[in-house]
Amino acid sequence: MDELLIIKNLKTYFYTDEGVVKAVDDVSLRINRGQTLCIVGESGCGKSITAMSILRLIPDPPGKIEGGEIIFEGKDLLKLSDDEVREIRGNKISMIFQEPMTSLNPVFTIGNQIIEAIMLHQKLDKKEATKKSVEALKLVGIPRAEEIINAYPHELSGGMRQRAMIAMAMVCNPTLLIADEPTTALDVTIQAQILDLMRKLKEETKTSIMLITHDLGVVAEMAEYVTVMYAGKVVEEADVIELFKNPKHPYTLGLLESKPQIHIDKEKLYSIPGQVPNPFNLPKGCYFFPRCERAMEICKEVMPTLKEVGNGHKVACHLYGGDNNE
Amino acid sequence: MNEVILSVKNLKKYFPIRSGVFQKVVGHVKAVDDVSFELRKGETLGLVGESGCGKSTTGRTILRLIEKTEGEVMFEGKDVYKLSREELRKLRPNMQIIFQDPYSSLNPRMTVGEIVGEALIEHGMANKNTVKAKVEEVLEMCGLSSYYIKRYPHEFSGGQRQRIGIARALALNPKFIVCDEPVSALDVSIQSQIVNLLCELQQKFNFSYLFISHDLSVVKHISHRVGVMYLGSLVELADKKEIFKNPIHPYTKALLSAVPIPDPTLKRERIILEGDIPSPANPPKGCKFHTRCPYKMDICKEVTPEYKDIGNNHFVACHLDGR
Ligand SMILES: Nc1ncnc2c1ncn2[C@@H]1O[C@H](COP(=O)(O)OP(=O)(O)OP(=O)(O)O)[C@@H](O)[C@H]1O
Ligand SMILES: Nc1ncnc2c1ncn2[C@@H]1O[C@H](COP(=O)(O)OP(=O)(O)OP(=O)(O)O)[C@@H](O)[C@H]1O
Ligand code: SF4
Ligand code: SF4
Ligand SMILES: [Mg+2]
Ligand SMILES: [Mg+2]
Repeated sequence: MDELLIIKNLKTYFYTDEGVVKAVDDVSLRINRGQTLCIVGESGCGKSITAMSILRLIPDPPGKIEGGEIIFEGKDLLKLSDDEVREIRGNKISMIFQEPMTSLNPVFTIGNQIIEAIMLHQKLDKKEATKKSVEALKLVGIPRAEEIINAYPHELSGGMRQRAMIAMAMVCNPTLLIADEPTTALDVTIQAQILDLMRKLKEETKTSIMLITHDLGVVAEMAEYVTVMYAGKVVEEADVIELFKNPKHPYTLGLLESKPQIHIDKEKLYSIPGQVPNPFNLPKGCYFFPRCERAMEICKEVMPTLKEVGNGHKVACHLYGGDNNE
Repeated sequence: MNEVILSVKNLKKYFPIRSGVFQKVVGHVKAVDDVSFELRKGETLGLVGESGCGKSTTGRTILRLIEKTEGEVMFEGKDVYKLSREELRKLRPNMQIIFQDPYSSLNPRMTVGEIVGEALIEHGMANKNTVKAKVEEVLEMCGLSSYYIKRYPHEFSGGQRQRIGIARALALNPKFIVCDEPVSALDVSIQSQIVNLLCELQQKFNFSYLFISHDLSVVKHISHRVGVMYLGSLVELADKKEIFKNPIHPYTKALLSAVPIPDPTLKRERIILEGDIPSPANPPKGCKFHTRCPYKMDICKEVTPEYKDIGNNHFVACHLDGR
């Protein structure tokens, strides 16, 4: 198969006063050309840090990529020089950040920022770049785009900022688009429009998409393949249809059950009991053990490894595959 | 559910658009354009609508975090816009907001403990000795372990920051909270934890919420009534059951049809809205939705439909009226 990105055993750690946070701990994943991979998982489980590691945007200190490989089009991004990475960033790989304000500069107008990105990567002159920026803003459904390019980020609503970022990320036709919760601030009609736009980008330019989202509805609509993370590790992965039909890991099951659904009324929402483990004091065995309703003796002592259980479906849990003796 | 705690009448907020070297005002963004509603004690009013339609601005103008252009906001019988600064300060703990963008609303130079504790001390709800315990308690409630207390906002994930904002608002034990997309950055398991927490607090302390969210399944779960906004105005408002079962306004219908459902084998019919979203600086004449409405009639282009009760406290602004 035509692989675009392969992450092998990535480890990204943060060194804080209280100890080491293993934000990404031995994560492997793969995205084929033209494929959409969705990553879901508990808040704080390392999704954004995985994405930022790909672009080498981890603040150092306190963060450090401690190991692994990130192979993009056959080259290990972790071995490239800073200049080489900068060349790829925003050009071949672009990213929509979870919080637009982190990547929009408050002292420049929206237009300035998009135009600059276009001029930098596409060698267009200012006039052409301006025209293209307005088109890009219109494409993501921003009204009065001609005026908005002269507006500052604080003058936009939350969802408009998010869309400005999306426009910026898509305008350069990236080979890989990393979208970190791209539609969280958007209402469903615009969300549908943006998802459509991403699908089109994928069909027309064979762009691969790494989509981080907690909205299982969006996953069901967009993903071909799904990776579920918990506390810095991949705990389950499968084809999207397989995952929804046949979820295996108790955490995944909990996630699916927690989601309120528009056509189903409930008194109280299901919520996975307990809390995410303290990153400085992780349990010895399975990280999900303290919250797992199906935990067994072995789970407390032994960390389950990711194992194939058929249909290309992989899961890290002692309930499956007789993984008892490691 | 009984007493009215908040009453908003004909609220308007226009932002000036400036242009040119002299920054001359060349027009106005009508972010909130004549919005009226009431909120009762112990009630949750869900507020939904297109991005940029004025939901956050409505919330912030009610709390007087930004000044109104016109209209009236009564909180517990007091006109919020007639209070002196000191009176407003005293009222603050009672009216809180959970901000949509946790990143820019948290001071990067303060630890989480300081962020949540600051207001507690300012309003005399804790002192130097008791503040730590109180902060820890609220953090735990929001699913953040107390070992986070000495860390700074940038050391958190998006969802964790969101919960810091929630903790800060809840710590003051407010009577009324504007929840601006409080759970949109959270994964579903924590989302359900927070939604359950908000419901519990409401049952215990009779909190009232203005709950802004684009996640209609969450809105449906938490709200008693739901209001739908389009281009600065309410176009429909009704009891939750009613609005989800019997939506009248074409925009509400389109909105409901666009909700993603977690089932990859399902292919649904969507009402795709055609046309660009009009500018709030220059909204269409007549019904503001007519440029995109699949049911528009001739009258819609000329005459603004009246926002009125069509029975059972179901308010709607559409010439079709559902009949
Ligand atoms: N600068 C930092 N210093 C210390 N810890 C950090 C830092 N940045 C992130 N972390 C920690 O790394 C972990 C992973 O964070 P990450 O942002 O990847 O989570 P996430 O999966 O994207 O969560 P969310 O869904 O809430 O956005 C979190 O526990 C977070 O607290
Ligand atoms: N400070 C400001 N100056 C100028 N215009 C503003 C300002 N704040 C908001 N606006 C404009 O007011 C309108 C409404 O914004 P608001 O933030 O209330 O939208 P919203 O409904 O909360 O959207 P979202 O769902 O995207 O958060 C937008 O057109 C926005 O550009
Ligand atoms: S390994 Fe054990 S504790 Fe972990 S998820 Fe599976 S059953 Fe639960
Ligand atoms: S008034 Fe006319 S244009 Fe407006 S929503 Fe009703 S039918 Fe559509
Ligand atoms: Mg994140
Ligand atoms: Mg908003």
